[in-house]
Amino acid sequence: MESPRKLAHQSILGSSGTEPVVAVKKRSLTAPSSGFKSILALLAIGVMVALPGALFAQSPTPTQPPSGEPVGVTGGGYLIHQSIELGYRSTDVTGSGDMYDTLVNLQTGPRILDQTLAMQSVDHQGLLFDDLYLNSFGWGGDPNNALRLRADKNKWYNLQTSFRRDQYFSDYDLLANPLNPATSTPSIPVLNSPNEFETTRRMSDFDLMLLPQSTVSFRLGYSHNNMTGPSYSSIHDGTEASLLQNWNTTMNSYRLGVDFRIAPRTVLSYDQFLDYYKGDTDYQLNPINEAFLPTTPVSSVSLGLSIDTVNKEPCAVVPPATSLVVNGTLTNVTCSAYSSYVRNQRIRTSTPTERISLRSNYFQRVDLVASFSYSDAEMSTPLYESFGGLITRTSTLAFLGTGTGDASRISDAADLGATVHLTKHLRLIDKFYFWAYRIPQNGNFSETDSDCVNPRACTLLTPLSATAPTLAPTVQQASFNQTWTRNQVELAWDISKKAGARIGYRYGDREFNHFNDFLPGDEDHFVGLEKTALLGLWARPTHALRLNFDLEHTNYNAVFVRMSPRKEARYRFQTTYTPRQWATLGGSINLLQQSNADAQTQYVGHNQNYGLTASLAPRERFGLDVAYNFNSVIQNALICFDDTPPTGVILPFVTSANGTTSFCALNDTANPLLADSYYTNHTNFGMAAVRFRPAKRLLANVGYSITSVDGSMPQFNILQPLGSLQYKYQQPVANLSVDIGHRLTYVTGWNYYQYGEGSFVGPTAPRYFHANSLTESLRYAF
Amino acid sequence: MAGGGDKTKIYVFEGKSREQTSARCLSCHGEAHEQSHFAESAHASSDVGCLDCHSPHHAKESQHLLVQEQPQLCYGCHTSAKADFAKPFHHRVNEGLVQCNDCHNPHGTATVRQLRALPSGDAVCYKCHVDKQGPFVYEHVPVKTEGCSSCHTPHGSTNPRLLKVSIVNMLCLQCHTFSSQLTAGGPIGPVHNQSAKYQACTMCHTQIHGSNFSDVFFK
Repeated sequence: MESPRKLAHQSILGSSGTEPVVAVKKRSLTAPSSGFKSILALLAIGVMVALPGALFAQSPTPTQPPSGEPVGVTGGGYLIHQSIELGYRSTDVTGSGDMYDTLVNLQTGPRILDQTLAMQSVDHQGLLFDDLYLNSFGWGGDPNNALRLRADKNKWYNLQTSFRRDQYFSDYDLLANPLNPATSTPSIPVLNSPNEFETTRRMSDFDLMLLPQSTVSFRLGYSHNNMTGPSYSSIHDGTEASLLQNWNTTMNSYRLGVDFRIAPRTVLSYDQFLDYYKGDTDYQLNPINEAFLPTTPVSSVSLGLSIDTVNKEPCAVVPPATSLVVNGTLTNVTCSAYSSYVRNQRIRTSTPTERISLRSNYFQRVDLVASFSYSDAEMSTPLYESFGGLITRTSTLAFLGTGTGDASRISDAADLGATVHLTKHLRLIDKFYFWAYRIPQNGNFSETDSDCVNPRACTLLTPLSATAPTLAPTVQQASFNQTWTRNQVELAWDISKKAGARIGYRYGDREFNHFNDFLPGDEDHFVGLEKTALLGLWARPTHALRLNFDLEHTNYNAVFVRMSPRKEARYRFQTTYTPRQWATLGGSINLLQQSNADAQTQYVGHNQNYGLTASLAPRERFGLDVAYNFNSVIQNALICFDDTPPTGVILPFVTSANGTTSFCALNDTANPLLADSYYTNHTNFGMAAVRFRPAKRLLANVGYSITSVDGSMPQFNILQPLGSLQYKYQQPVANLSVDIGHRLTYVTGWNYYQYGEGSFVGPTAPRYFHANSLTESLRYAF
Repeated sequence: MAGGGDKTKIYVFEGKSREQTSARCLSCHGEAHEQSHFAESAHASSDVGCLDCHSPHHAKESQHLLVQEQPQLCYGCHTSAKADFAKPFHHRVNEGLVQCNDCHNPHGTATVRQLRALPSGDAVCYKCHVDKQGPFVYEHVPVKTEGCSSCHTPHGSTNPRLLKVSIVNMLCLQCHTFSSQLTAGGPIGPVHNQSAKYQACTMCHTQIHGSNFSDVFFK
């Protein structure tokens, strides 16, 4: 089995009993093997040498040649442009390789950086197609690569396909990290994320329209989405065991549609969709923090991720032992621990959907569009779950879970849009949207627990023969449904060609029901109304200047989720100014204000964004792009929680921790403390890029961008690092293109990445890296 | 004309309003499902017409005759999106893997923010994140009723996993706190001491988007 590369098994088996042995892993499994590199390099050279005529070449790509647009070649009745860029990227990383891979993940190796083919029929009489466009990039090991193909033959077909591959690596060690303290014996910090991912998602889309201009047109489509690769998660039963799972999820989607042109400018369509999902991800124990049991023959257990003996996690140290583990052997055999765990599932979800839609401009003054769809998703999965070890709380040495679960989602969606042109300058726009679904759920599971007959004497050494089976069935029957209608009406007035305005109103109605076990009185019912005032203004006082302003003011009479706003206001202002053809200036202000004045919530939040951009190219040999953006996010609300800070540490943000009874203590004794859960985040983004031609055959780009983050929020735990609340992410870049003739361009590029969190690190690995990535390539284009 | 044609039959865009030029384009292209909502779109209401993004004769991008490639074309007006996608945690738009029009339809949709939706009405997020769509035996109900953006900022975030706040526990506690305002019954608060252990809710509640086997999303 392929295993994730970063979350090393922190074994204590071979240690002195206090220090973990962390396996040193190879930096990257994603870089191609040396054999593959050689093959790719040979292939690249072969292509360059053997196909000067076939590498037709050129159309817009990320790296433009310094000597202008290629003219292409004509052959077979087509004007052909083609390009290919082959290169080699070398990367060195200093600091946290995991963070580099999480954010950038560009590794060393040969690459097909970019490839484009464009063919256009000169006389629109091509045999198989009139136009063909193919572009792909990132082949050879980059984390993202894609291929997009479009082809069409006038009146016959229109084809669009794509393949995309996303290699996703995530190891942010503060998500789900137990923050094991130094006071524990042993002290074993978790240095990698327990939720580490190294998955690859491959997505293919294929859409073909036949007879696009005929009275009857047909559409065929297919999509494939497959995600594979290892990842980690955890399971809480006794202790927090680390689990390894090889992802394997697949969605196949089939589409079939037909369009009928039933009248002039009127199309009636019918579509049939079928989505079929397979979830075959299995879970098994990742034996992290293992310890020997004092048995013969020797056996071992995994103590899990949380090692905090002061707080008895997974158990306390029992004197005279000075550590939970001595010479690799567990000194307290009453600990919760895992010797085995496996969970299998085979999720199958079938979702057929039918849709009928109409769009019409038949009437001169009315634009009409409408659709209705019905969907019925059916999911079922068996369960097999097996555990061996000890769950101290229930004195369980083993359990076996079996059963089946199934759920459905039956949904109806409808929309109706109408634009009525009242006069030449005045139009009424109405949009109606309806979405209703219900999700009945059934679970029928049974768990057979092997619990110790004598719980007080139950240890990891107790044989299964000293247990008695306990059957715990679970029968779950629930359902929830939601009906959501929304209508928006606007009156738009084009005052002149230079200015216009619109005013509108949006009304929404949501009704929600939740049935638990269908027992009398066990039903949650919610009705919420949304009322929104809309206003928009636009102006083009001169040909070069555009101004746009929009606002939305929304009131909700009720909320379904505590943090949902009862009042919401959005303001948006955008402007672009193009005083010269070579100069474009832009600015924007986006403000979102939210509040919920409920006395027990007192939610106030905003997301404010201010941006400026400028793009200047006064001369052919010189260009400048700059941008600045400031983003302020605030999110304040009351929360109830439970906390016991260490002696001497005061939680300053708690307003009623001194014994004063709060509404929290009155209503939720488990979470008696009341606090303002403020979250502030100020992000500054700036970038500048200069491009210039020092000589006719040279093109250079130099740039720099920075995202600087500063914020604050309450700290629930003194070991909790602020993490992504404070950091700088900087990316200088420089590249040079040299036209070396014969349709060849030499390109060299340098990218620098630096990410550093400027705050307390805590019992985790530092999240800092800087990396240089140098790419050298040859581009052939015509 | 040199060829003997009638010049007056050639439609000239110059001097026409955005609405007029767009109507001309849509007289043919309006029949396509993709463009069917343009008349009631936010772009149309803001005097953004076809020729602001497309150029039939001088396109710089051949696939859709765009005046500029995505995402730079969109960034021209939506400057905040440019900053969002430059944040360290972001959807791979600048890398070319995802395009703006994968999630938005610039020609308008039936929903707000010109967001696309799946034919079933579900959020467009599930087009890629298929394992989160369900249905599940145990749904985390707000995922369905409030949507993904309750907890995530889809363009880009300063926080891992595109989360709205940097520490998971606070995100959870903001909803999982007693409230008498919720007519549908609020979720109960956790019974865990925030200092002692369980420093991240998602360490145990791993299947937070929905589970088939655990009503508390453990597995």
